[in-house]
Amino acid sequence: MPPSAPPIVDALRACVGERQVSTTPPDRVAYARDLWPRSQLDRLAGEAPQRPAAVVWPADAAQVAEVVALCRQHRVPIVPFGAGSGVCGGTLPIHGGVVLDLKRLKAVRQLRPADGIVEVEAGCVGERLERWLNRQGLSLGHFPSSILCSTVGGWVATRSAGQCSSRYGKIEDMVVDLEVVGGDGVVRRTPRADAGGVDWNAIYVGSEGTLGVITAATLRVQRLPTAQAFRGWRVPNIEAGVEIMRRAMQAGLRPSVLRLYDPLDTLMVGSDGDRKAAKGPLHSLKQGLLGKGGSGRGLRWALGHPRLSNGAVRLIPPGCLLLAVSEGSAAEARATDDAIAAIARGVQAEDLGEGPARAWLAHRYAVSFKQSRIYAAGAFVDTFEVATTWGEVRGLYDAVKAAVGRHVLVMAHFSHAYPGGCSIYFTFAGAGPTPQVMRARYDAAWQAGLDTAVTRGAAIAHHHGVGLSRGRHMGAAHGEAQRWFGALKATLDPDGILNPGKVFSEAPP
Amino acid sequence: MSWRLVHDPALGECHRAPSGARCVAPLDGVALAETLVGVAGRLRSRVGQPVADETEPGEIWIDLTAFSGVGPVDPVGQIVRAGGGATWGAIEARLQVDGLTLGPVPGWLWDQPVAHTLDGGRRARPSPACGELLDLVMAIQAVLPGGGLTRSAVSPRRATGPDLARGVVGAEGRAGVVLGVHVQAWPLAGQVGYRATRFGGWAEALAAGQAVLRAGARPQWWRFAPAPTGEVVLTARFGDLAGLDHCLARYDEAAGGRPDDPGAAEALDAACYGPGAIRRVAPTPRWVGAPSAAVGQAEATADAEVWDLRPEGVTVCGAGAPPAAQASGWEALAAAAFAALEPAR
Repeated sequence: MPPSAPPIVDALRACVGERQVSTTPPDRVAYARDLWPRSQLDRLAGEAPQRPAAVVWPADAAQVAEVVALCRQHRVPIVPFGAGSGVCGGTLPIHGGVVLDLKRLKAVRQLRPADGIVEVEAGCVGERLERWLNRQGLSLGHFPSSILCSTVGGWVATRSAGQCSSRYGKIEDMVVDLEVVGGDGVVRRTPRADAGGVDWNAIYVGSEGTLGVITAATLRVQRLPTAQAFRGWRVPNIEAGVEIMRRAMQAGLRPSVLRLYDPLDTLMVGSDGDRKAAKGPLHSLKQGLLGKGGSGRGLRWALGHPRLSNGAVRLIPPGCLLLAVSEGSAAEARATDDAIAAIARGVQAEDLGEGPARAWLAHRYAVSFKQSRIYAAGAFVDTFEVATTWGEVRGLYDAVKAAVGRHVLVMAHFSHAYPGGCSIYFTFAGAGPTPQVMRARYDAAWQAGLDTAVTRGAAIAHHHGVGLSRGRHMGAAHGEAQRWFGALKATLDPDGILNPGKVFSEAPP
Repeated sequence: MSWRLVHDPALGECHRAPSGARCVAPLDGVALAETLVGVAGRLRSRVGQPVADETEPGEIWIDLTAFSGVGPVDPVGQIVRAGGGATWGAIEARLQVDGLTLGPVPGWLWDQPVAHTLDGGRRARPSPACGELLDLVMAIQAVLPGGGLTRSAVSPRRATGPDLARGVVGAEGRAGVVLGVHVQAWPLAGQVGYRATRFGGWAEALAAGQAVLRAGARPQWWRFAPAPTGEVVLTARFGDLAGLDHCLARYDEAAGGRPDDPGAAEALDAACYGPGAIRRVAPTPRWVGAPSAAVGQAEATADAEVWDLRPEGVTVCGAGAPPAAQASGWEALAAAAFAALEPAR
């Protein structure tokens, strides 16, 4: 849609109000990107992203429905938008059209403590909801690192996970029902997740705005835990740490956090071990990556030679940091902590006390803000997370690290433990002489990582979603199941106006 | 109703009932795909020959006897592969060889094929400790009506778009036929413990159940049912892997009520679960809804039973009519989506 297309803009203004529609360049630039790092590389390479023709701020589900109906009438794409914290390009308006910012839909509609549920509108920022629930003695139990800058609707749309998913589950485990606006402009409420029949919640959760605009969600809530127990462990190696996680979860324990850092990530986190290893080139690398000094030139050199850097990482002692947080009633928190301790001692883990886990808790939402320092130094950094079964964890870690390590420096941590397996969260950083070379290395790293995950039968995403960064791998990951998606898309969004090109999608060239 | 062997141009040799329903028993995935591409009709996944009087004209019964295998078991991940025709009982028996279990398997589910359970999509085996049976299914492989084979990573959780692996769940066969699944298992508990507790009424009993959940004491199964005295009796089995004594102590502290003879729970366990269990089914219809409304539903029903109590939902067996969850246009949308999956013929 050209920016000057007045019929729909006028109609949108008539629908939601003059001030709730913007076609100004600053707004269109601001809504042309989310936190997908590749967008930054595009910008460095001199490429401007596709801008939306207009940004619209509806006030309620009825206005969302009217906007969708208008866009359908004019065949204009719509991109639902929460807080823009996605890291996969899921909200980029690659076909232009209208960005539908849902942040005015921010009300907590009802809380029913006796039923263990809260109904909240999609645009409510996560931290605000959690703080509000805490005042009622409740918690959602959902703590993504983006909680300060992400919305309930975004969580549901991307199948988000919080840091305590081992105990409370992912967002799909919390959804009781949803209010959605279909591509036909009709507001509907899904049947309860436990109603039997087709599970419409499972269809909308993770659909990333392609099947409907989520305008509200009824979510399961918990009473606030009355006790927490923190423990850090120094484990001999990755295998030992993974073994503790596996045994704990398969024993039916429900810790809120089990988080194991590989040797390089342990160094970056700064456990009580490895002070000696943190000298020399690795020390410089750490300082550079964390922005506490070090030369940008040295950092770029190290990241521009990933084989050497990854080789140097092998000099780090194999010890790893494992964090455990247990919570619930005092008796349950203590029992869980004791049971994990018994397992950990069985693999010669060293008890580091409460400090490391408490330190993590204090800084757990700060991770994303370090990335800008890397870009300021002329390099790039990104993350991707996969998930697999316990028997495959070590093999997948090694294979992805080897494949991605040809292009970038790579490290990982293991988290989001379940009885069946866990997530591996890879962080990679690289550099190149030109923005174009950097982008090519960035793409090569992603391609190598996801290719490896697909080949080994792992899930190619655990909680970041698909967006554009994983679109090209979705066919390989799902086989003919993508026909189910096609059938749903044709039914729920008959004119294909909802976030076109996403999920099973067009990926970057 | 009797079945006779006929030659059907689309199905080859198959069994046909007088009603017009047909039954075909493909030997492998290719044959199954060819069947689905070649014919139109509502699919029903079963094992063995169709049961008389349970068919409708035009239906195709897919006899999944050839897909009844169980194994191998991944002992590290505690995951087992099973064919869509495998019964829950066969899976449980295979797991127990390796010291694993699905958790308590009700007698009525013991002989039910996995594909049949997934087709229905209803909560089959609620268990606070071991999870709803359908939630243990980590991956589903299915043949679509157009013959295509779906793929699904065997993974505890994922964020790869909508949960397409569950496309067949609750679809009553309209979205495809389940070829196989990967199922999460638990270690067999070394010890089990039983509890029986009496409460003055439904409100007190269900509130106590919620308190037990909040205390982190999760039974493998539990049942709330009225006693002739007018009280409500909670019977439960525990098999906490991380410490049975801790778990029972938390239960005792949180539940309150009046302790009763735990032998009643043990007897119920023997009667309702496992291979030798009676095929007892809790009364129907089943009301599913919010906890705050469950008390009224249970009180209004003489023979109400609750086997499924969660913080956000309760199933009251025998109470009222099921809510008309599909009445708001969802059934029509589902029908349209399934129709879009049908191959052009």
